[in-house]
Amino acid sequence: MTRYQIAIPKLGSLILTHKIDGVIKGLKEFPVDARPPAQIVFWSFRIMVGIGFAMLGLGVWSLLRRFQHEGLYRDRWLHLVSLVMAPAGFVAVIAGWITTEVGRQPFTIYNQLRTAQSVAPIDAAAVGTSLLVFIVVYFFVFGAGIFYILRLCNVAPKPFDDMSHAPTRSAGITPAIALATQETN
Amino acid sequence: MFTFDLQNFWAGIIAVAVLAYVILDGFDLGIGILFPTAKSAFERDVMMNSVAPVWDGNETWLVLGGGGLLAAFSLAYAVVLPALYAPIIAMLVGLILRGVAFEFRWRTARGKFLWDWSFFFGSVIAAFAQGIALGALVQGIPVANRAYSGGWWNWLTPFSLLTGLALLVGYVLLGSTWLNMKVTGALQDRMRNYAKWAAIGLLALMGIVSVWTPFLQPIYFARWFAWPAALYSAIVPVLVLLCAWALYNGLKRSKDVQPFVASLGLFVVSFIGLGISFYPYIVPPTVTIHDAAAPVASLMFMLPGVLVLVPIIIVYTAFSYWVFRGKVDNESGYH
Repeated sequence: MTRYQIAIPKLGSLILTHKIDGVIKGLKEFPVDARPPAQIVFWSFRIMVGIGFAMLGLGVWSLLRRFQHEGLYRDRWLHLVSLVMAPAGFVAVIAGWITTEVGRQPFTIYNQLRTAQSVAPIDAAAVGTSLLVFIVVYFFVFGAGIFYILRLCNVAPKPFDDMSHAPTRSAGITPAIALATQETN
Repeated sequence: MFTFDLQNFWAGIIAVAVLAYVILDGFDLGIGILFPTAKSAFERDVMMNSVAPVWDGNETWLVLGGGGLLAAFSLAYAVVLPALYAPIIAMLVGLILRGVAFEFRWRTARGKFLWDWSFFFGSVIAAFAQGIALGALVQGIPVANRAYSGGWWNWLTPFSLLTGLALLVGYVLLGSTWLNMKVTGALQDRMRNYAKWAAIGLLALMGIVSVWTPFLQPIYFARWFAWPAALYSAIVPVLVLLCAWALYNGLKRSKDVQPFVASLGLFVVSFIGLGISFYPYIVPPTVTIHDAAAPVASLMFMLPGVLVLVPIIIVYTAFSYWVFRGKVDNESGYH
């Protein structure tokens, strides 16, 4: 039960039924075996939307500071909040993914194919092993990635990096040498 | 025997995507397998930089092959992926480990060795797993009620281990001839030498696989030994010998480009040979291309997208290879 809300009339109808006066059925009107687990979707959706508005707010805040002389560079709180918000996009994407994937249950294709019917005939042991392998590999890879990102954050930007010897890839430029030499300093 | 229709056309698109993946990612996986042979950190940088601009583009052909298989031949996808679950997961893990190595090894001096090994092991795992998956598909996948009906270790046989080894050696050949084309000096001389040994090994393994394959399924046997089909199939071994001669000749006369092109030729001819064994099956020995195909409406729906996008992809891929043509010059730093 949502006790407090700010509601925009007709918007939900427009998004879900593509009609201004469509009927949105409540969850309880669907049979029990066709309902998604509401708790998870309730929270993941709110986390996604909440972070979205927080990002919007941060954008407006920095825009207002931008209009002041050097305000963007002087606002200590803005910097701290920006730092804290750094992983927000990642969290919001994961929360949004959970919302769609849990929210569509128990169907893979709505009203056509149930998840229980579409699951591949793969041994639980095989799936368990592969899950374990992925967890280990992702911890290794993401751990290293986060470590390198944090180290990247720790180096103050320079007006000009000499990148003539660094490998630049098609997707962008890589100030590699400057970083690699940080360790030996 | 062969009719040109929508289903066969789609099978052709997927075959081209898989072949493009194998020969393109093949040479950069080969460089990963050859990585420990580098004598210095400089050589390792040169080897990696020779594929840095193109390797991730090469791997996208796997996405077209896999995605296309799901969309156009859903039944084949639903049967093959559970049957080859273990090798495919191993391949993905290998591709992850080697893929991040391209990014991470430039971020650290102290931890560089970690990503050098990750690049090597990832490449070896991916190459071997792909070869095993190929062998497991060729030896036949049991299907009942439109689903995989075999066990979880069916993919592991002496034949699939042999094809795993053959593909590993084949990728070493592609990688060493690619480096022969892209680098200079002592590294090039060594790569030319490795290419010679890899070629001998690959031809021997291809010979064993070719002799073994017809006895795996009666349909293969008929393709290769029944008159008059064998008459057409006999072109394949002739083309293999032609490519092998071009490779030998190119290496002996220290040519830059010829050995690589000849190695690509070996892969293309082998792939055609595989197609001759397979057709009209997509999952031997029971599921044909027409059995597995999605409804004509689906195939038609996807066709314009593929016909527009694939030529565009081919053009920009060719352009990027053209931009990065010639020897890798580690001084100029374009990479």
